[in-house]
Amino acid sequence: MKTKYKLLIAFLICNIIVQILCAAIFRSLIPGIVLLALEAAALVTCFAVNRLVLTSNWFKELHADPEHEIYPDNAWYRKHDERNFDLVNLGSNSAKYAFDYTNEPVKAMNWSSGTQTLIDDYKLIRNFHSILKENGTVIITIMPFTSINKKTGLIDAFKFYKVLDSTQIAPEYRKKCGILERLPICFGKPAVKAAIKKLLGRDREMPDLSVADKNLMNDKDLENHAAMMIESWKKEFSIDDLEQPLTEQNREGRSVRVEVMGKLLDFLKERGYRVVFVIPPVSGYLKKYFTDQFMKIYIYSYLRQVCRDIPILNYMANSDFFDKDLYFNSYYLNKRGAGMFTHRVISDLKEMKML
Amino acid sequence: MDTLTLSNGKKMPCMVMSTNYMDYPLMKKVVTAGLKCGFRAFDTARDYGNEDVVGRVISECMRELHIPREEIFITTKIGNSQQALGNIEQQIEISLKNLRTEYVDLWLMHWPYPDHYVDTYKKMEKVYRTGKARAIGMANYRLRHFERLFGAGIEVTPHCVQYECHPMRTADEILSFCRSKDIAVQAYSPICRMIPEIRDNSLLKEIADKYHKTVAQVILRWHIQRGTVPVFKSVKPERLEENIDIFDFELTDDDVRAVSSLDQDYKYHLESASCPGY
Repeated sequence: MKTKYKLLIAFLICNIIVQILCAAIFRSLIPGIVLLALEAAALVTCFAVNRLVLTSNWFKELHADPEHEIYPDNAWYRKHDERNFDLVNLGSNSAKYAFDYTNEPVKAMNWSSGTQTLIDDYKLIRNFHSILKENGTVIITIMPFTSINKKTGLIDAFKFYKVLDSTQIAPEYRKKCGILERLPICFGKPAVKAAIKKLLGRDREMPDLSVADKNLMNDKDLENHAAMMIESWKKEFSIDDLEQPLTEQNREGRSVRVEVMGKLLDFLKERGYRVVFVIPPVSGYLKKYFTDQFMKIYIYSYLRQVCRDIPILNYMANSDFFDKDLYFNSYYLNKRGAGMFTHRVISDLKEMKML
Repeated sequence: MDTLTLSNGKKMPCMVMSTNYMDYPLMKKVVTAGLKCGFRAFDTARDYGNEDVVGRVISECMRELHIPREEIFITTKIGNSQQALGNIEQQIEISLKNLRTEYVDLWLMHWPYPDHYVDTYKKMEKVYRTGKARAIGMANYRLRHFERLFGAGIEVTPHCVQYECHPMRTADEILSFCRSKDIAVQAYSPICRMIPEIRDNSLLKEIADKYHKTVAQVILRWHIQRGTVPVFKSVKPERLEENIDIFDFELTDDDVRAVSSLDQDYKYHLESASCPGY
């Protein structure tokens, strides 16, 4: 049945229900004109609230690339003439803050955004790899828990809805994402909250903490932040002890990640790209949790299982990046740290003849 | 309009007008002007969303200008979503209905859609045998796609391939491959949308001045002499006249080489953005 007929039937049913309720409560029916006026008012309110949500920062932040400046999608490439990039990097927040190519003599793009999974990396590469030159280089960022699969849902799919081709969005979420894109009010409570904030003038953009030249956290804050990060990862992946073998559930997740990484690497190889794994640094406050045993269980055994001959650049234990002032918390590099780190990666890649 | 002969003996005009994303009033104006100044080949695709408008405009123009169907060369393409459906034989019927014709002169697979393109091509071969498509081929293929296709035991060698080709992307490898298989080449974005690197290029300007032609005319002539059929879009009748006015001069071999030297494998269109998994 066509949507307009469905809406008409829903409208009629609503009217009947309202009239039945009125008859039961007030023992009389509402005059048709009054009912229509009430419904029109309700509709206008909904649209007004929806409009507020659409223009709120909350809604903007649900998208991976609201300004079409991170990924070379259709909106990007019609606006920009640059092509044949030397390098792109993939990854989540850790990579987002670690790579800054502004001052480097390479044509490179940082294709990272918060909570971007390896599966998203694969989809992004499938969708946008043509921006790379022949033999271009792809950095796959390996983060502490890259090897473990996590459950994703509608919000994760929605994040890339305006970036990826619709065929790359999980079929079960495609339609819902389309509706939410136009009617974000359907998100419910958080959307209404965002609309109220907007109405009250309290809708502010999240401040970019990475621009600070030094770490604004003191030692205690950093200790706490690192402990909090570890606890949230443990909770997210149901881990009791980071040095114990993987749980059954995480072993299953691992096999998913091995398969996805294999597909990603084969895809890149077939198209002639050069690939390198990069493990970004973390501050000393966090590093202490990532012991040799942890690295063995969570990173090296994973990369071994992937079973492809890919060079690894590991900066996790590199003392050049221990200085807390290169970070804006215990995990993410700040602008200065990113500049220094990216420069180091580029020169290492050149030395390896990968650039 | 000069023609070139496809491997199956069918004739294809050496310049093609694109009709993508034009509505009826605009297309009527452009196609009428194009036919009046001598163009006979028109390119469309299901994914342009206006195949039916092309059909309406061409049939009206043929009637109004007294041009028989045999003089017109229509190319259309089968899109990814239709490839995913798999009912390729039915898709040609839809295209024929849209285009108000009993056959298309050239039917191309728009993209090597992953996991489908070999199967699609084999079904296109069957359609070719019915005569509903006088020639078949594909667009946007790389050598790896051809290798896979030929490796899968196809029976009809493609008659024509369309890909992005201009001085900044000469795609010599694909061109050599096509020549070796007697496959004709159509070049889309033939003047690379006149991006600043083309428009302001001193070498191209110098050659254009030498022949008292525009940069676009020099590039179109370069296509003709290389044997690649430019498929261009213009919505200005005066531009159509300019584009066809390239048969009264000839570039020297040095000029052709000089234009080709601008190659940097620059692709205006990102293939993978249109065809994920490309």
